Amino acid sequence: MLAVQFDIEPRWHLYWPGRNDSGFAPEIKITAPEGYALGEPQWPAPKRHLQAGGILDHIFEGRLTVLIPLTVPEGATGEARFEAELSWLACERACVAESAKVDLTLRIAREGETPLDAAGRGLILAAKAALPKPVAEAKPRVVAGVHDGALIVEAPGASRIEFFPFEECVSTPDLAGRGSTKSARLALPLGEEDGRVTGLVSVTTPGAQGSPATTAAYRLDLPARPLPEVQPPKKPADRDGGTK
Amino acid sequence: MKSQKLLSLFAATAAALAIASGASAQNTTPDKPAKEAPAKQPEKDHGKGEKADKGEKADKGAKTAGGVEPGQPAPAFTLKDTDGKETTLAEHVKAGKIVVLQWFNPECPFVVKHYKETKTFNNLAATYGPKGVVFLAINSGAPGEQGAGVKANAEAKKSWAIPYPVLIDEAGTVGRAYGAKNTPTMVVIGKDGNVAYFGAIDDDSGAAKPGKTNYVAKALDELLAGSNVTTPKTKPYGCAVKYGKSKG
Repeated sequence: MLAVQFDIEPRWHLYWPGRNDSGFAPEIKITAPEGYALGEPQWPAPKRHLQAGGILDHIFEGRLTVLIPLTVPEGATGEARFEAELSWLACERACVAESAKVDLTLRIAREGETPLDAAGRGLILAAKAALPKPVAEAKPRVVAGVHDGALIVEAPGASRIEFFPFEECVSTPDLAGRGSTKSARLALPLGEEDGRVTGLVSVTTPGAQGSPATTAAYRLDLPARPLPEVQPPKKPADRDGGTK
Repeated sequence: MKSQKLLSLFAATAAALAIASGASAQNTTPDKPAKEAPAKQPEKDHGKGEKADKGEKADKGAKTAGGVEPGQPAPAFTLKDTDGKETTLAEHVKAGKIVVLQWFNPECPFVVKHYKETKTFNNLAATYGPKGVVFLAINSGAPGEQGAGVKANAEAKKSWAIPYPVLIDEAGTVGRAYGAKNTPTMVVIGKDGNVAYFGAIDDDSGAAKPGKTNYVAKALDELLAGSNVTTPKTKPYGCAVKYGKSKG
């Protein structure tokens, strides 16, 4: 695993590679020696950033660590050099486009050798632990589904729920107004097109007895037009007679 | 980009490349309060727009605060340019012109890309200006924001040799009426006064190079040929328009 770490100055932000009204996410191009395979970059959950004019973005502040899976070829020895070409847009109210090249040379550890760099190891493990997990693994439970053309997310006890759509998610016409709720139930109307609801659900739970609230994010991937649910057979006299 | 400390090895396969980001140096010197009188604009749905900004708008299906869709009439406006000269949309529509609006901020890297590096906008005006197309840049940045105000825009117009007016919309009213969120957001208005295209200038949303397809040129070619615009809407890209905070 390789990690690219951005230390972002106070008040400035970088952009998440999902649905945003402005900006663009850092571009990371890594050159690896032959035989080394790189995976898709893995990003932590962003923060919602709503500005005047209804401009909604999802951003990173402070420290951003992007993980890039790396497969070392069988039997590799000696050293391996990696180069990363990075370009990004950083904004506070103003925006600047910047770029950098960084490189890293690693010595391939021998069989049974202990990891040499505690800082790098800690950084990567922490970033890995912070990556969004599938919503099915949420604890306490988070229930997400599509009902009547809206994404419904329920997280009992939550003080805030937010949805951050991926680029390919079906449209979310009022994401600025309804993509975040200070309650335990989020209801976000979806566009009418076919497709999938993909993105991150961010759930904030108040801490017990004055301890700080915690926020966790989960990956969501649902069909936007679920097949009609099979209703349990109703007893004939059930509804129609009683209510009018 | 400041420090480039490199953290090294984790087992055989783990490592971190570390860099710092967030230029602090580039902060714009805030403009002195513009000497121009504020532009005359229809102010009627100002309040409505503000509310939506805070995400309080309740109506389902409402996309953003204001905003236009292709096929709808282009909202009328009257704005002053960097010389204090008034321009109205109506005068150009009345004259039967196709009008191209471009949301502008001379310090936004995306705008800089298309003026300084690739000359996209100057080329566009050079190609379609002689065919009767009117170009108007609009800056909806609030006073004190990056690239806002008469001075910064007059300087940009001069140094980039922009052959068309840069209109100052510091109240953001026109930007909000069109639902412009980015610089550059491009709007093409047909001779009938309706929006014919709304979206990005081209298909490369990075800040480094121009895209392969220029959607505005494509829309203009089609309108000038009397045919329909085949791509009437794309997702604009760029910096956020630096609107002022909601009043009240």
